[in-house]
Amino acid sequence: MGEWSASSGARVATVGHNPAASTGTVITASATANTKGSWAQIVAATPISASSVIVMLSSPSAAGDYLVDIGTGIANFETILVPNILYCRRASDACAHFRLPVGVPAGARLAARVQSTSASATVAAAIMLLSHGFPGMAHFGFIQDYGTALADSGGVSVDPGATLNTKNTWSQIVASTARPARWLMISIGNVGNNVRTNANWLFDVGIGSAGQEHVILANMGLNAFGTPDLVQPLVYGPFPVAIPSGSRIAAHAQCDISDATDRLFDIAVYGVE
Amino acid sequence: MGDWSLTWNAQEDTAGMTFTSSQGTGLTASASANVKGAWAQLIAATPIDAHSITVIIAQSTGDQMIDIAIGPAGQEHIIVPNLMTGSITNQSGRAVYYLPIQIPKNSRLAGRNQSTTGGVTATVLVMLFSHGPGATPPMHQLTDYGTNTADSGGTGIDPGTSLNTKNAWSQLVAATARPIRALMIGIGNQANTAMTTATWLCDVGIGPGGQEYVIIPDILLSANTTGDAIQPWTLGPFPVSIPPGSRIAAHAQCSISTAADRLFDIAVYGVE
Repeated sequence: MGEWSASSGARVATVGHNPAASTGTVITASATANTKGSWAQIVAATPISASSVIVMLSSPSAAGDYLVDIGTGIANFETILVPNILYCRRASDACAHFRLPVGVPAGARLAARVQSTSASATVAAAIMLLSHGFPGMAHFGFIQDYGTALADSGGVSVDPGATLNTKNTWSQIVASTARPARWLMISIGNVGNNVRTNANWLFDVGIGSAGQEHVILANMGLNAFGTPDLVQPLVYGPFPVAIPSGSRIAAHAQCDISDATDRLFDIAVYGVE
Repeated sequence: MGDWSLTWNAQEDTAGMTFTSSQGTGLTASASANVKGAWAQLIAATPIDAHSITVIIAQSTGDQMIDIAIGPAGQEHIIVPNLMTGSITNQSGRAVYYLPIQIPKNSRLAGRNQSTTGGVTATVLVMLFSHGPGATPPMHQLTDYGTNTADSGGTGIDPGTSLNTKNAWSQLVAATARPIRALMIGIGNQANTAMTTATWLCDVGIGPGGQEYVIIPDILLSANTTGDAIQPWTLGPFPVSIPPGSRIAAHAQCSISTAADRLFDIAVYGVE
């Protein structure tokens, strides 16, 4: 590696923003709940070659859970680049930035589509393209989502249990990863809960067979307040990991409340190869 | 560089947990507003060599500003100065700063806090990442620009009264002290606990006044009238190549023109 700067010649460009309204491109979910809507073009041709992207989501129109796909390719022939980004809104919403170290060549068309528990809901999306320049980073090529649940536009439910401040049993996110993962991004969901209690969580992500989980990301913090009714942060990472294909990924948590509904949260993870 | 994995043999450990309340370590601000409180230990000895860290801050009152230091008690040396966390009185969530700086194994970590409201507490966790022997060269020096310890905030950005139009630039620093290879951004609320629903597009640029060159364009931010917080609270780190002596500035456009609610704070953290 030596001391070559990984940021020499770095450039950043944003696409999909809507300067006329200071927001992003509006994407609309299907009129059928939990069904992907039509693709909306983010940009016809990316202006730079990107070594990583930041998907910026904001202004969801209705309380609910959302899963957002980012695709590349010409209209009607989109290939999914980033599948099922889990995003939520309740009484309040929060703009969230999802950073993914995946390469996108210059000139690529980018599009997005969304599904939601709330039919025809909308969300605004814009994408930052980060070119790390020479010598840059090795491009990562593939993102695989684990734990996302298309049927309810959510993730895998994690239950900290009724014993306060004690890690509960593990919840399996995936039995066997399809591909190796070198980076892992984590999204947090609200389990369709519209009325939250103030609470704090510590959660772990681990790999390994049931009963033999090995923590790889430890004690990340979450909290919820009663006013916005939203578990946050909505996203953690990406974090450097070395997860071989065929691995089981799971999560568990502890919480300072034991309310049977309000102690629950959803989780999904995104492995980048 | 080739295609050696940067992450093989990656390890992570987290410091600062308070398991009895499922939170981080409490850092109590001085009883005097906008004055740093006492240091509180996060961990006596870090268990791994870290190539980068993630600082997770939870708080619910006023604007707060956190220092992270290494060194024995009474001899703390600040390695991360003035991490800004905006007022989130009505919004859950945490400020999460991803910082590509190195901390050797067995270091003592401590934190301290200041706030616009004296005596309040933030809780802090620090995730430590070892990227393994194929890792990127570690970066060392982190310098804050645009922070304002007098109000525990940052540099105010005013998008102006013209809707959806970028306003004049606000200077964060006239001349950077050191070169910057990665830039982290903190967003603050100016202690505003009654915001209006709005969205912003914000640019960060370098260059002399009137000749700013955008290096990070159109960062999307939003606020909701229920949550009363502008989010995300943190952005980056972004790969940049900023030489020492550079002027850094920011400007923004907004979907509302309400005098107080269109404003936000910004601070940047340059890593060499």
